[in-house]
Amino acid sequence: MTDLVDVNSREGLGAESLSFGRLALRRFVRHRPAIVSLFLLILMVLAFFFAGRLSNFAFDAVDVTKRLENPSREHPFGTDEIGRDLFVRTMLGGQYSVRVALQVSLLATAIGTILGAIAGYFGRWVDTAISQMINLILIVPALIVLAVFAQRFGGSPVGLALVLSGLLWTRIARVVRGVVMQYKEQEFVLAAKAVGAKPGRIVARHILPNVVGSVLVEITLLLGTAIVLESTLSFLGLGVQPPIPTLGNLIQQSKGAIDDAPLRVLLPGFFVVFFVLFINFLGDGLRDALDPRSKRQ
Amino acid sequence: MTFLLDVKGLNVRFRTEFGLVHAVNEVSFSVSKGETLAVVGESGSGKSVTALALMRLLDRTALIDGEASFEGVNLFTMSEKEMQKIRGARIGMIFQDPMTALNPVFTVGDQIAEVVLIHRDCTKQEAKTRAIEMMGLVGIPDSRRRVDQYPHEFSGGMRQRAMIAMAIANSPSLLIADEPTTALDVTVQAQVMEVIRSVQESIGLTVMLITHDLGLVAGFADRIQVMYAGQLVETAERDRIFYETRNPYTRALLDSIPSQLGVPGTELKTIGGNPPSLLSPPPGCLFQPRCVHATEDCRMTRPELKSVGQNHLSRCLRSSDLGVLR
Repeated sequence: MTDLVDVNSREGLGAESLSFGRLALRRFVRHRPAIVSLFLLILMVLAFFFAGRLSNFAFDAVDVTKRLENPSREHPFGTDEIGRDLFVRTMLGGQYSVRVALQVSLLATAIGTILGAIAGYFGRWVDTAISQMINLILIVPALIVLAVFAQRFGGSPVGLALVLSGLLWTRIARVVRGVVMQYKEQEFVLAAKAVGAKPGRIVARHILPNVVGSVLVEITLLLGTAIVLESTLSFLGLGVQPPIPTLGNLIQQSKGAIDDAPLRVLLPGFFVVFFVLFINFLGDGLRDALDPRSKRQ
Repeated sequence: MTFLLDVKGLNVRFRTEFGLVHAVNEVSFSVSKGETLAVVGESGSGKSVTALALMRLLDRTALIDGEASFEGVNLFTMSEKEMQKIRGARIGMIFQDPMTALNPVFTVGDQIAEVVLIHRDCTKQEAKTRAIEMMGLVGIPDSRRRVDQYPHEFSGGMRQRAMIAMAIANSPSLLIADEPTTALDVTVQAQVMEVIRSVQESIGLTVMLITHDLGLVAGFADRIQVMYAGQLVETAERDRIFYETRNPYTRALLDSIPSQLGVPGTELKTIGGNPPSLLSPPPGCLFQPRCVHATEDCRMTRPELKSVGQNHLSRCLRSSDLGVLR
């Protein structure tokens, strides 16, 4: 006679245990546009940081004998009106733009997550105070505030990053606040309280891990927004000041050449557009991968 | 005889935009060590609120007064910090829905070990060993492998076992089980109750079981306490509740249990009507509008909890002339 096995004792033991993170990673890897975008993004950022070294020219080396040259082997992107190599300047500009965007997303995420979590978890007057602060920041026309503050504190890349962070943390805070409010009513939070966990532990261990997904997606959107805003401000002359190049002020400096040498304007613009495009695909992939209800295989 | 838990005059009121809701009114009871007390009543009778009030897990809109002495300290006057040391260490609690009471992002073992780490000074490895041991105790097979699994890999019954393991990981003296089987299949309910019983025997636990299922209680409780509309209406040893019922509400509850010998086609007995609004309770007996024995007097006079036998209390104006209800 064959042995009878207690079915209950075997249930769920068949397959290997996959954590949510591993499952998400698996879904992400299968999201083709996101993977291609991630690859191209990495390539782009590596180029920004290292391609400039391949050239023999410094970013601020002026050579008046070679003004406004078209792309050549020596100067792949041509030169500007005082003969500086545009390839090196564009790469370095991209580097500064990406740096600003990264600093902004790091700082804005930190501020937004902390304030959002506090508002969401403690509620009551704390929530009212933080939410009203967010509303205040959101209703003031962003560009005007940015223009004023950038005038005063901008100039350097770090200054601009601080100004942008001060404005962009609100979106993260709202998302985190919402997710925290949703999760703090979950029964497992009550269960955690019932075993004697303190508020700090409950937020850090039981609520924030559930927030990570939404925040990651939000960070990608933030990176895109930051790079566009940085370029806009620098284009308007309110952001990073020359001689430090950024993608924005490169477009600004060569905007007069749109008829004669369109490539000079389009190249930095091309980098801004594709950076944002890839970032958005990446965010899309993350959103699908991190949605526990996603049916995508 | 000393009691493990002695509650006196517990009142819980909720502030709402419509006024104060009297969810629990002047409830007094005690539980002796090693005993199993079942608190029975329909939805909204205040049984869960009583449990959450004892754990001080109600939110700020709740106003609690009364006294709850547990192991010689009053749960309602101690600081939140002291209370955190009681929860999960001296009093364990299990909840109704094991599907949502476990955090989906951590392994089951992590969550049991966390309870140990919160209250004890030990290493993570020791806590995990304790978690495996606890999982074995509550009958989770293959606990060495199960410990690294996530809640979604567990069935409902298994999750409830894991919740029990969490609740008893620090060997508390009191376990409050708030409808521990309501969300489970009927076949699994008996298994889970069996787990609670065996754990109770092996570590000498006192159990306060909250349920609306009198059938479940029949084989499990030492004493039963019936609640209705925030009040205690009858309390006695188990057999007296079942065979010497003195309160019309308890009788109506017992009659609502579907009989397994019933003739197909006969209608289920129910209690007509709804419980009264706890926002503005009527002046007389709270069960009077639904009571088959109600008289004019019941409408005007609020009955007191009276002794009707050995350790047997009932809240009914007519308890002496109605006698044992069948």
